[in-house]
Amino acid sequence: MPVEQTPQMPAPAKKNPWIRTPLIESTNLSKAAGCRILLKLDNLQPSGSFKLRGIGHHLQSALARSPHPERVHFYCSSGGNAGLACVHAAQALGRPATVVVPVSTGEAMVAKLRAAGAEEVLRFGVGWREADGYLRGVVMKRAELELGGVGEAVYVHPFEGVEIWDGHATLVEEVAVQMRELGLGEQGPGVVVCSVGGGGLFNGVVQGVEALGRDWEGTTVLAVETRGAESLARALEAGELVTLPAITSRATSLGAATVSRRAFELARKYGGSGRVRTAVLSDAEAAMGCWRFADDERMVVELACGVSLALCYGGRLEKALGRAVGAGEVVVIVVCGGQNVTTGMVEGWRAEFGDLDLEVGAAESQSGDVPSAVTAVKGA
Amino acid sequence: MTADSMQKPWVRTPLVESANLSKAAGCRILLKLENLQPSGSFKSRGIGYHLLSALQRSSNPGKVHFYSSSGGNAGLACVHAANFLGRPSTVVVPLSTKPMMIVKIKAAGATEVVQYGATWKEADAYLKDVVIRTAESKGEEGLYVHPFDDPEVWEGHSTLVDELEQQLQEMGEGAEGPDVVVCSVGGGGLFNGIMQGVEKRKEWKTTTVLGLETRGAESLAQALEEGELVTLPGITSLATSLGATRVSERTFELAQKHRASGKFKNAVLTDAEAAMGCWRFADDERILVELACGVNVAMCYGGRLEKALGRPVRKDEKVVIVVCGGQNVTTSMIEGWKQEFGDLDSEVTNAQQIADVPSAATAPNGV
Repeated sequence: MPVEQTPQMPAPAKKNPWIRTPLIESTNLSKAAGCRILLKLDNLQPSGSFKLRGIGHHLQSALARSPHPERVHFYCSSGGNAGLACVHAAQALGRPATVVVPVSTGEAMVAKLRAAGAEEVLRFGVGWREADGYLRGVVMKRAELELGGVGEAVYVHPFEGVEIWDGHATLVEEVAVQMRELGLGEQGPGVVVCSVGGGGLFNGVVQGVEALGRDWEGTTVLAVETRGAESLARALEAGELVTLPAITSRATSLGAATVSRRAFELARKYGGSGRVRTAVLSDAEAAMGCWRFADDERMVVELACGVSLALCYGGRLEKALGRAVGAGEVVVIVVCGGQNVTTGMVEGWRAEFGDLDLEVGAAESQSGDVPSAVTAVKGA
Repeated sequence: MTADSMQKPWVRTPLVESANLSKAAGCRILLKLENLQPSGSFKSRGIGYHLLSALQRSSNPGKVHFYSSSGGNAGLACVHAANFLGRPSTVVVPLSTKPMMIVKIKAAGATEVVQYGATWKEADAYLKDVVIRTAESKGEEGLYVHPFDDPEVWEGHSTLVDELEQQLQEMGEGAEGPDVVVCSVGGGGLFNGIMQGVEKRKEWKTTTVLGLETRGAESLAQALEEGELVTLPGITSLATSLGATRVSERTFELAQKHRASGKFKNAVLTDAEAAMGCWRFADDERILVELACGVNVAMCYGGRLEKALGRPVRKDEKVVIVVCGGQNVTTSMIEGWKQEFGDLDSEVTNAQQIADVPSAATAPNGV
């Protein structure tokens, strides 16, 4: 009998395209909010946003499914953070990625896609729809023809898909581990705050909280949208999925006209018990969140992320929760990040919206506690 | 993390590879994000370690009260560490200290912030001669915390190199250490810690430490030129966190020794170059740092790294930049620097070969 002589191949180290991001307690934001604010810094993902988790996991799974992973080429039509995540993840997994973006996409974002290692960045069409149509109808088809069946073109959707949500759920797993490491025990935080655009992050976060079972049963997921992009809040009001006629918020990364069905279902399922709550803030409030966060923590984030941080200021967290917060209560804010921001933009928002909360800023700076109260445009 | 490491007033900071900065520099740029320390700068390590050791030494730790005369990052680190260790801290700062920094020190949990005197010297003397003495007469154990000149502070800073070694290993890099570690030099505390950490690692024999100063605060560069410690007549750089008129003796010794061995190089950049490092870093990585830190990041742009090293860099070369951080910065300051110094390197930012570096597109005269 021939004995099988196959040498034991060491399993290749499975390295995720995303990283474990820090969970840090913010003194300044805690002071402002009146409770313990822990920041989950997903702005530090290599792609600059949380999207690397979901999209990274999706790409990983697509490669695992493919009979010829070495022939896979990824295609994405996002000129935003999903596109960046796709390119970064593809690069980390050693596969090429092509991105088609609308011609309106800024130079800096195109440069970021290139620097991340995109095989090709094409500009086509006035809007995402046209770019996406061109990607699927022309670019991918041509590639498949040219490669004569030896290539495998994989289309990457920016936020829909179970694999994407599974990837985002890793964020909550990490928070649970990190809270233990910080000596905060097994119990989940009082609140997890995250922004909602299409709902991919929210789905992953709720899924992650569910998976932690009893220990996290008392945790409220607070889903935040901007006015003009509030597709989840509107759906909950209407009792069914709705499509916004247009996105009028400047937080373009939250601009999904219809939220994912799964997000709607989860929000409805847990809305009654209070395990999920929603809040809608104005662009001005999101902008305030951005400039105050920049001054208090020296990191620059998009409006889509600033809207979550804005809850720390001016009593907004208590208002959104509909209850008082205790000084010892732990609130985790998902700093989802986003690369479409510069100091120039933040300064513009400060100039435009700096007088928001004047009376709050004045009160805070009188108590002498929150740094950004001092740097407000008309602050004390 | 072990239970032991949870007791420390500093954290293990991430080591991340930057796609944008790597593109700009032409080699692999790894950022050691000390700006994420609880106090906002690397000083949490050295000063945290110093406070921890002082409490362990004290026969009556329940009576210890920490005192600092820094209105900057050392003061913030002292307050954060003291708070973490459950002890009170008092900071005396000169009247010229910015309101934002005073609020930050208060928010960090200082027992008291006292404003006194026109300069640091006066505030420091008042702290030592009046505040600490008064407290001691009331039965407290008052401990004066020096911002950088203390072996315990250096020992604390060297934990950065311990982490770096672990993290490179976790990333699957070899044991031979990075090719270059870039850090800025003010009084020299950070540099001493890093150089000590590098020199004790046998496998890191080809690692070069690149120490950076700004023109007008180049107390180390001048000492090396003179062949002896010198005291600058004044600080003329805007990078105030680097503003030590004289580096520590240990800094001079280490720099001289390793300049000869080839393990140390130094460079002096202008404030304009440091400012460029700040605004480009903000646009490329969305993190705000002080000029004192921007001077390191500036190395990535316009071929400055190769110039400072005196040799070309390889694409696969690993360069670690210590993003030392600092809290004395806002987006308004960064925008101000961008306007004032934005035309620096316009020929570089406009050059075709780096059109795919994002901050080349956001430069005032960018593509």
